Amino acid sequence: MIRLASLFWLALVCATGFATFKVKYAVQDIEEELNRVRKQTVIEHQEIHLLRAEWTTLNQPERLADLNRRILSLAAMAPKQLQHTVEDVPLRPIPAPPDTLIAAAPVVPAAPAVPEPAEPRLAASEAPPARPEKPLAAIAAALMPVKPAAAAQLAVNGAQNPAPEKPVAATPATVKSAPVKPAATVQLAKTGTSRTAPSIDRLFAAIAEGR
Amino acid sequence: MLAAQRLDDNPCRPRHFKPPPPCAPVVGDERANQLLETCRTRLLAAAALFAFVFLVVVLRLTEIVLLAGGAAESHIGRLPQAAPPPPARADITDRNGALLATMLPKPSLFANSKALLAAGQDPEEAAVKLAAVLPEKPAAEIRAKLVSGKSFVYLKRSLTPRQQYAINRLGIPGLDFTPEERRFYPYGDLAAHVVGYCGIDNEGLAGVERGLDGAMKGRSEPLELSLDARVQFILREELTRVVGEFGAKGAAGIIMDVQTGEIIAMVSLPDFDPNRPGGTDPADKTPVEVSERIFNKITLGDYEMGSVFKIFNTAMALDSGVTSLTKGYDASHPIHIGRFTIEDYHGKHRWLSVPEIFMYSSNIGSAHMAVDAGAERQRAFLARLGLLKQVPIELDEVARPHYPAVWRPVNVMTIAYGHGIAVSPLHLITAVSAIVNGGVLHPPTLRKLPPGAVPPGEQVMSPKTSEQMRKLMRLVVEFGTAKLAAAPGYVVGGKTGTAEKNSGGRYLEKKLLSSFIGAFPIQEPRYAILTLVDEPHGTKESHGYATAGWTVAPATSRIIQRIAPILGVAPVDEASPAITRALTIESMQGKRIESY
Repeated sequence: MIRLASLFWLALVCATGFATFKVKYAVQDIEEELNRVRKQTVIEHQEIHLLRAEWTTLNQPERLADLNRRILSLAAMAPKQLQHTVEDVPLRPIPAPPDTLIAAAPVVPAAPAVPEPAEPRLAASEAPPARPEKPLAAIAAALMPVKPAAAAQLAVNGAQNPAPEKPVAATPATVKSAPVKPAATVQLAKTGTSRTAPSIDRLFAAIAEGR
Repeated sequence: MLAAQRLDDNPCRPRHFKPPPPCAPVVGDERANQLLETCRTRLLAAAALFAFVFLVVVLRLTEIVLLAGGAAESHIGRLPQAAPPPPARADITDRNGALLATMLPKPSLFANSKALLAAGQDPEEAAVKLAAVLPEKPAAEIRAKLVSGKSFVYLKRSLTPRQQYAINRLGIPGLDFTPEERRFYPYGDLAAHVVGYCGIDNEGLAGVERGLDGAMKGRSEPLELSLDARVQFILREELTRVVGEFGAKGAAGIIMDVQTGEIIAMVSLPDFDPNRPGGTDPADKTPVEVSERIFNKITLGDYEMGSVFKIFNTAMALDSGVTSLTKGYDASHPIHIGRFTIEDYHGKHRWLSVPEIFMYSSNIGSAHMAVDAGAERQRAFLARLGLLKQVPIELDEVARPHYPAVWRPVNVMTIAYGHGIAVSPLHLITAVSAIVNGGVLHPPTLRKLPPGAVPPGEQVMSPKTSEQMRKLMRLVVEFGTAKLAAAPGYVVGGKTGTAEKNSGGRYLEKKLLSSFIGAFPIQEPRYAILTLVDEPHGTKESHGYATAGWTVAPATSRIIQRIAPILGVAPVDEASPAITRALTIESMQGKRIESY
């Protein structure tokens, strides 16, 4: 009986001793890590300080004014450009008739769902459908799954400027080539279809050029 | 027997000592049994206590090892933050946190020639490489130091971080850096006179660096000044333009928050680059004396300010009740007193009302007004406005005003229009701020006050006089000498002053000091502005005039239009009924105001 109890306590003492050492070393490791991080923090602080001084030097009003003169040509603000409250700001004049490209946009979202040739806009395309074709909107959407709105816009462009010059290489369902259109259209088709990583900025640039 | 038993009971009994066997079992000895029982109980209690404490330790260990820490994590937040040691001097920033002065590591490069030669480095090659990094040091000079055989020789003091990096990259043995810190002013000459500069041992020698030297040492958070670097830049740019346009010797300007006394901008031209205060700009064609560059016209300059003093004269006369806006004085004849003759620059030669005297800047009318009030009142009023003593400010470079020891009648007359008394521009703007803000004098300060805080001030005149003065100052800009200072939307009010500089007791007609002092928006002033130009020369555009109305007034207009949006002063419709009502002088209503 006494033996058993002694064994139990002995085992417990061993386990405790082991655990204590384990904890001690773990703490030592963490402390080393902490010291390293603190040293690094101080270095980073000093670097930030240096960068801040450099940033301020680069932001010398004199230099900014000079840069403005050479690059931006921004004028000083006139008193009439400043208003007390939102109510003082005059309403924007009624906008000019919107661009046809943009105006057509709301029609599109349905397009990807519509199965091919029945799509009226595409029917106007001069391209003879050699193979079963996906609607352009669907292709565009497949190209850019993340930016459906932009894709729709592209699809509209594609639909309006009948067909792209080149087949869409990136998708399995390709569009047959069609007679070459005016330069702007070609440009649009190129930027719109022939790249693998679509960028919204380039897309907008393309739309702007297409106008 | 008894002895044996005693031995056996003794816990300290040596082991080898065997007690003689008991002759008979000791039973029935009540006392012994009781003792044994007590011992056993105590032993048990002690064991239980130890077991309990041990179990607590075991439990805690289990918690830490097996249950991942428990509450131990919470200590991390309480550890002190790692931060670099505080700099030798605190940073100085403007009111928006833009760095005006900071400490930068500027290591010095030294060579251990012995080590370099011992490492087998070709000194010729090393010198050429170093000369490429340090363009201002010729290779021959570096080479001479490298082969000198000394174990410590400076190659270059104050390296830039880029140079240090480049030298490290060269990998030349025997070169090392000494860690040093230097004061650096990222904005250069922008606020040179306010910030000041430091010496080689980073001790403040001028400006705030000197005035607040004690506060700067061993402080880790930056010292915030009341300056606004953007406003400072605009003020400096426009004043530089004035100096160039009118071929002036110098210029100065100051902008103050009239409600708090905070100085928003302070410029004195010509100025210097605090990064090298003694150096001159090699691009400058007509180099100016260093002493003149370092001289702060705003705080250290003592000038006879001329007509702007009529603000104080009129305020004094109105506040003491000697005169009122409806009264007036005969200004048709010059005053002869002693060897002096007091004349008007733009004489109307008739009776003038008080607003007209102020608007047309009549010396004769002002002199009559001052005589009416008397020397005692005049002196007391100027003293109340702080014009007869040094201005309290965080700078060491402050001027002591010059005024007559004995206030004679002729002094009374000349002081009325700002001659015979010399004060610094800082005096002037502090006093004018008090006049327009409702009559409360705040000491000027260069340190930023917490937003919304209004420091205690001293009521030096009645709010009613202050209101009348605002109206009069508006009149000057609307119809008087300062028409060109008007900034549409910002309702400027002010007063011009063109004084002939006094040199050795004589007034020099061609050497003018033209100044404008004003406040905006004058119906509810927030900022006071003072601009002055030293020895301007008339141009074709100014029709040959070098007076304040043609030199600094247009510049002030441009400055106000540019800084008001930055300072958050919203433009208003100057013709709106609320504003015209606030600024109309009843006695002037319906009168035809002659153009000036």
